[in-house]
Formats: sequence, C-alpha cells, structure tokens
Amino acid sequence: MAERFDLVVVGGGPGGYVGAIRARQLGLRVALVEQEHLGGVCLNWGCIPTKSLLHTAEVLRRVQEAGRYGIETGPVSADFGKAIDLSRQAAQRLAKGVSFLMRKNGVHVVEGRGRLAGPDRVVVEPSGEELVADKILLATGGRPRSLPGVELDGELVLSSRHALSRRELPGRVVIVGGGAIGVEFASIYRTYGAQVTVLEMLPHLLPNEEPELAQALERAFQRQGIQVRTGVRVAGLARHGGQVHLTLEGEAEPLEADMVLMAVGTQPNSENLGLEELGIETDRGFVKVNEHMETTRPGIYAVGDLVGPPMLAHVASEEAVVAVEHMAGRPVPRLQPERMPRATYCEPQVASVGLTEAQARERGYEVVTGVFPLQANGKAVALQETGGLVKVVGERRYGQVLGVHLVGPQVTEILAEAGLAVNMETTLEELGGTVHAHPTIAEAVREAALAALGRAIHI
Amino acid sequence: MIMPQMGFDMQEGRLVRWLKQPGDAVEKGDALAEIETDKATVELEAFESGRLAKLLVEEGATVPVGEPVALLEPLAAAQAPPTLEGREVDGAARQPAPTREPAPEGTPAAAPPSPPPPPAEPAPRGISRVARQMAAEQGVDPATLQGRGPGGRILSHDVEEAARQSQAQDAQPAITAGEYRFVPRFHDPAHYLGEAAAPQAQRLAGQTLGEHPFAQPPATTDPETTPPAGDGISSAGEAAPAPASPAAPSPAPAEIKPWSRMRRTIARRMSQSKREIPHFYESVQVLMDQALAFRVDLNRELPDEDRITVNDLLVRASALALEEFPNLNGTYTDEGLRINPTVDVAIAVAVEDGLLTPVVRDCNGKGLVELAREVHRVVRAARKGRLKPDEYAGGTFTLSNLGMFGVEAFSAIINPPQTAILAAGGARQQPWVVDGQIQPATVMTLTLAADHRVTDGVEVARFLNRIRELLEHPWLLVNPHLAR
Repeated sequence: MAERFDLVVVGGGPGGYVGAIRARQLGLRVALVEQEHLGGVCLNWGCIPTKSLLHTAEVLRRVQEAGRYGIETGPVSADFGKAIDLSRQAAQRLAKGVSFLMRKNGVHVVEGRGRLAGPDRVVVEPSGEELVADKILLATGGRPRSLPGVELDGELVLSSRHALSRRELPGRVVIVGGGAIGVEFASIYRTYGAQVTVLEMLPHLLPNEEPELAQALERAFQRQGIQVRTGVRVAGLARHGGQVHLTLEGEAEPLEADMVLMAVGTQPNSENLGLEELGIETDRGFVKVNEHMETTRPGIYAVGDLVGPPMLAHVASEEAVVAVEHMAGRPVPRLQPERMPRATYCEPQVASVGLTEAQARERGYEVVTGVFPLQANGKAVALQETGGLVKVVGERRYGQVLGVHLVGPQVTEILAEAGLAVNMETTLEELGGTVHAHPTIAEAVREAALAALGRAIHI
Repeated sequence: MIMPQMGFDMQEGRLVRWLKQPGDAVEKGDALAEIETDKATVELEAFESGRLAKLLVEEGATVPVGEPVALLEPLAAAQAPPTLEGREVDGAARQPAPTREPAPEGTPAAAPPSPPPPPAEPAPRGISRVARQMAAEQGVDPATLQGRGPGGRILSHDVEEAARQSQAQDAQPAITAGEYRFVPRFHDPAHYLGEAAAPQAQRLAGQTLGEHPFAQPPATTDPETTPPAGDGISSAGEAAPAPASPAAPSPAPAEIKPWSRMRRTIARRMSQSKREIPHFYESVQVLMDQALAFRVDLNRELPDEDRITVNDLLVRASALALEEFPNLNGTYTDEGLRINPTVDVAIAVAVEDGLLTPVVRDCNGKGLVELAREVHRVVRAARKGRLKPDEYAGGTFTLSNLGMFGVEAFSAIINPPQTAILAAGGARQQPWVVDGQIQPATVMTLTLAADHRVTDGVEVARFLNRIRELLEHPWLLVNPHLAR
C-alpha cells in the first residue's frame, strides 16, 4: 500500500519546496510532506510578512516626515491592525503561489507531519500513511528560541511568530536580541510610535556584520528614538499583571515593558524526526551533513535551518538544489556559506556578502579596504538619506573582492551586484572599472572599490 | 567541431589527417584528427560524445580558426531523462546539418563561407581572473578543471583543490628551482670565495640531475666527479651494452622508429628556418667571475625557491640588451620589420624526445628576482608538460643554454619568426692573459645566430658587447642605467 517515490521531501519551506521542484526538473518522482503551510516560516511567519510590515511602516515614516519636504499633511493616524492584516494577505497570496508551483511541477503534496520510519521510508502523522523513497530530503526548518527558563506565552512574551499576528500595538516594547529579526521589529514598532528598547548581549547590534555597519545603524536608531543597549544580559524576567519586568545583569532597576519580543535566535526542528533510530548524527540539535548536504546516513539529506547557520531562506534553497543534484548524480556547485548574501530590512537597511575585514585577516589575507560614505553620493544627497556607507574588503595579492558591506537606503537591492562581484571572484580593478549609472546609490560600490585601490573620485 | 584556437596568435591550422571517419561513434575527448599549427601538431578532440556525422574539410586543408571542420551529432536524446534539459538536447540534435562541399583540392587555404555554428559546440566555461592567476602560479591547467562556481565557473577554490590533489598524487617532492641551479663543473665560486658550500652544491647537482632528461649518462659531462662503484669494478664498463660486431651480418630488417609529433614539428620548423633565414654567427667570450660572485651574494638573501641561476642572469642580460637593440627583438615580415613592444624571451627546455620553448613575457617589466621566478615557473611547467598554448607561443627572442651539460660553445638555429637566438656554453675556469700575465678566469662563450635580412655584423657585435658588459658588471643587471 505504501507509495514509492524517487524522493520524499519532509518540509515545504524554501528548502523543501525548491528541492522538490528541482528534483522534478531532473525527472524524479517526488512527494513532499508539509504539516502546516507551504512556504514555511519564511513565507508565512518570517521574511515575507515582515517585509510587508516594514513597507507599511516606511509609508508611514514618509508621511510623518513629509513636513521636511514642505508637504503639510495635518494630523496623521495609522492603524497597526490594518498593517498586520496586509502582511497576512501577502503571506497567503504567496503560499497559494507555492501550492500552484507544486501542482504545476507535479509534486505530490501530502499533508501531515513527516517522520523517518526507516532508511527508505517516511511515515506521515497522524494518518499513518507510509511513503517509500530512494532518497529523503529533510527540510523541517527551525523555530524561535527563547532564553532558558522563559516561556513564550504569546501574550506578554512573544516570539516573532506571535508578534506577526498581534494586531494591537504595544506601548512599551523590549526586544531581546539585536540580530536581524530584532532590529527589523524595532523599526516597525518604533515607526508606529511604540517606545522601543533593543537589548543585545554582544558589543554591537547585528553582531555578525562589519562593525561600521552596526555603528551606523545604532546612530540611526538613536536618532529615531530607539533605545539601544548593547553588552547587556537579561538576568531575570517577571510578569506583573499586564507588564513584564526585565532585570539586567548588574542593574538594580528593572526595565518595564508591555511586551517583550524574544529574538535570540532559531533552533532546529530536529526532535521526533526519527533521526536517532537511524543513527543520524546531530550537533546541538543541528543535523550534521557533508558538502553535498548528505547526513551521516547515506541517501538521507538535510538542508536549511535544520543543519545550522547561516539560517537564511535563500541558503536553504541553494542547499536543497545541491542536495538534489547530488542525488541525481550531477556535478554540484560548491556551497560557500560566507558568499551567501545577507539582507536586513531595518531603517536604514543593512546588507552584506562575503568576508568582513576581521574575517579576512583571520584567514591570512593581506587585506585592503575601501569605504565610501553616502554623504558623498549624489543620489543619497537628493534623497536626503546620507547616513549610510559602503565598505569593500579586498586582498592585495590578486586584488580579489572578498566582501562588500552596505548600510543605507534600499541597499538590499544593491546587494545583488555585490553578490555577483564576490561570487564571480571579481577583482577590485574590475569592480572599480565598471561604469555605474549616475546618480545611483550603487555608484558608492564602485567608489568604495576604487577607494581600496587608493583612487576614489568623489572623496 | 571547429578549428580550435590553440595559441593566442594562431590564425589557422592545417588538418593533417582524419583519425575518425563519418559514422564513427566518438567519446568525448577522442582524437578526431591531427591538426598542425605553426607551433606544434596536436589532436583535435571531440567536445562531447556522439557520432561523427560529416567531415567538412579534406586532409591537408588549411582552415582558419573558428571555422567548422566536421559535424558531430550528439548522443541521441532518447537516452536522456524526460526533462527540460533532455528536450533541449533533443531539439538541438534535430537541427538540420548544414550541407557543404568539402574544400576543393588544390585550394586548401580558401576559406569557405561561414555556415551557422555547429550544434555540438560546448558553451565556453568562465574562469575568474583570480583563479586564472592562481592556476598559472601553481602550474595547474585550467582546461583540466571542473568549475564548481556559479554556472560551472572556475573559481580559486577549484584551483586550490586541484593543486592539493596533484600534490598528493606526486609522491615526489615538488621540483624546486634547484633543478635549474647552475653548478659549475670546472670551477666552483665557493672555492675562491672561501665558502665551504661545494659539498652541498654537488649533492644538489646529483639530486637534480637524476630527474633531468639529459642526465644519462652523467659521466660524460664530468668523469672526474663520477663516484666509484661500490664494489670497485667499473660500473660504466659493465653497464655499457656490448658493441655489436661490425662484421656481424644483420639479417633482420632495420627497425624504423616513427617520428613523434614533436620531432616532426621540430624537423619542419628547423628545416624551414635554415632554408629561409640567412643565418650568420658571432661569438664573444664573457668573464663570468663577477656574475658568479654576484649570484652567490644575491642568493644569500633569497629564499631557496627563488635562487637565481646563471640561466636567469642570461635571460636578464639578453632582455636588457634587446631593449636597446629593438631590431634583434623584431619579427621579420615581407612588408618590413615588426617592432615588438615587449621583450618576450623564449627559453629552450629539453623534454623527453625534444624541446619546448616556454616564453617569459615582458621581461623588462619585471625586476630581476621577479623575472627569475617567472623563468623558473615556465621552465618547470614545460618539464611537467603543463604549458598552456599561450605560454610557448610568440616569443621575440630565444635563449638556448647548454652550459650545464659541459658544452663549451655552440651555435643554434633561429626560432622563426624571431630574428636571433643566443647560444650559451658553460662557464669554466681557464688561463686568461691580462696585461701580459696569465691569470685564472671563468670564461663563458656566447654565440648569437641572427637573421641577415634584418641585421648585420656590427649591430650584432654591439649587442653581444652590451650583454658582455652587463654580465661582467652584474650590478647593471639590477639597474642597467646605473652606469649611464
């Protein structure tokens, strides 16, 4: 009675559904098991709805700042609940799109929770249906973590997922964690008028980014009235009626908040997957894989948040393509995590690809860097958004561009150029020798490359 | 299948003979034909597996680069899975084969009109500039790499991986520049410099000679240093094959060992050179004591792999002198002398059954050590058979150095279309008369062969004297304008 497939994919997020489509393109018969929504966290509770909220907040910010441009608006009121509704609509629309893609490509979608029942089979709960497969791709993703001992109750202490369905705007928000999720929500809530405090344990917001970017972001946040507290640890958290009191290490006075958003990271959904029974090894919950994304059990592959950082949707998708092409015996591209682009949509936006200056030095490169501030960029001046900068990290021997780091208006869209430069192993001469249209923010990328060669024009 | 470009200055190639016939099944990489360029004869390999559908040119025809020579039908698409890619392959295979007359006999060079590009041509793979440079440095041939970057692009990691693998495969340690180290046989700078380096130098010479194609038999170059055989009996006498008695009849017909492609190419090019170019020769003797001392001094400051050899000094001196005598760096054409903007010195390197001439480009754009490093790199690549076409084509002058083989002096044949070739003998100590006194001196004989259509005796004499000046005042090799 068990149905046979070439590949069974467990999880329908950006890892699973992309892997399924690629496998169909290669002529495999594919089943995909998804317990909740096609599209996964990214599409339903992550990337997409937050981008919708950030865009709504951006519209509001433009209206609020209209006076700066001599545009009188009168009193402005904004409905946060409506913004949440719009973000849900965006998510639903895209989830339907994934559903259509599954049908179009002939992927057999099975609703339920998939679990390994043997080296060649997946059992779907609760129906008990068994799927037999030559290869299995695990793409069960991750979920928000909390601090030890702190329960995510969804009322006072929320995960990002809770926050995305909460239509009421809190008065005072404390965001624990200054990573991408934390700073994006800080921008959303602050624009709608909440008092926002961001707590980060490490010395800077966005601790994985180039410190110059984080400093520019921290300055911008302070101007916007967002409290940024870095180098602090939460020692205790207590609920008092409708409020939360957060105690910081070494401080007597607790922080009071109407809502706490936990944005301290993501943990893998590796429990109850049947890994132990098959002897598939994990490391702190993350499934161990080789460079083809194969687990310690041949024929079973794992991708995405389940296997560890960088926990980004596009990384999961690429890993899934590598896994599927390897299954099909095709030559696979080399995965280079540090060459994956990273985009954060706070205000101003932060984007980067490749190595930071410190990482490049650690790897023994003879590093050269070039920085170009947006104060000297015509387009940024015209937009009256000159707070950003572009930093290019290169090396001296071949002139290779190792990393590009951007902060400023719409820099997440310029990131594509930087990604191409780093992934094609462009040299500083090549990037600096490429004419960029004037006036664009992207000109700053060329100028930063020229700056690394000691010959920026406009600075 | 098109006529491939096998060197950056290759414009056409002659199809010597077909190795496969229409209808033959071919595997990717199979040799389809022999192609002769002005540099070498090489095999035309199938870009992919399939069936040879049609030959478009006859044997003996000369075909411009990029022109089709045959139609190759890819493997039937039926074998591919029913995927998007499969359908694409299918579509390509069904394209009607362009019909063409074979090139008529007697006009082999006539370029026929261009048909649409053949369907079997593979998409060119990209390589990053970083990877290309790294490959050149590590002696990795990019054509052998499987790119694993975006779209199959060859990136630095691919080169690094290949270099690691080839290192792992080479059980022997990597050949260092020591191989080309000049170890004088008849004098040793260490002796008169009061430096006890001689044993080490000999050890190195022994090691490296063992890997050298000319190493057999070492005794002919220096009988004095041949170590006695362990058992006290002359090993040379035992090892030598018994000479055939001249009176003995030889009933079996003489065996003919066919020429290798390399020998054929050498034969053709050298005959052509001697036939067409009016050679003339001039020799000078150069006192090398200063240069040898300079080299020993310099090498004290350099890491082992960058140690300068006498050969490097000769490349340097030639290149600097050529800068001042552009005629000798020029290329003869019927219309006039082409003046070459850079000095690109080719170095004759002995390899099994022949020789190669790897080229060091823009010699005078490099410092002495940088130049030496590049000389070592290309020579090493030549010995390992890893030269890329653009690394052995297009030199503007050639240096042939047999000094390390105990040769006193010789003259060489010009490497067309160049104008001159320098032949260097060994530097050896001999009596030298200075002011009526006999003194020991280390003397090397340099012989230049030059094209009399381009230059004359006096110019060559001045050129050779400049080389002598540079070598006898070796600090000029660092900066030739010091004395000006």
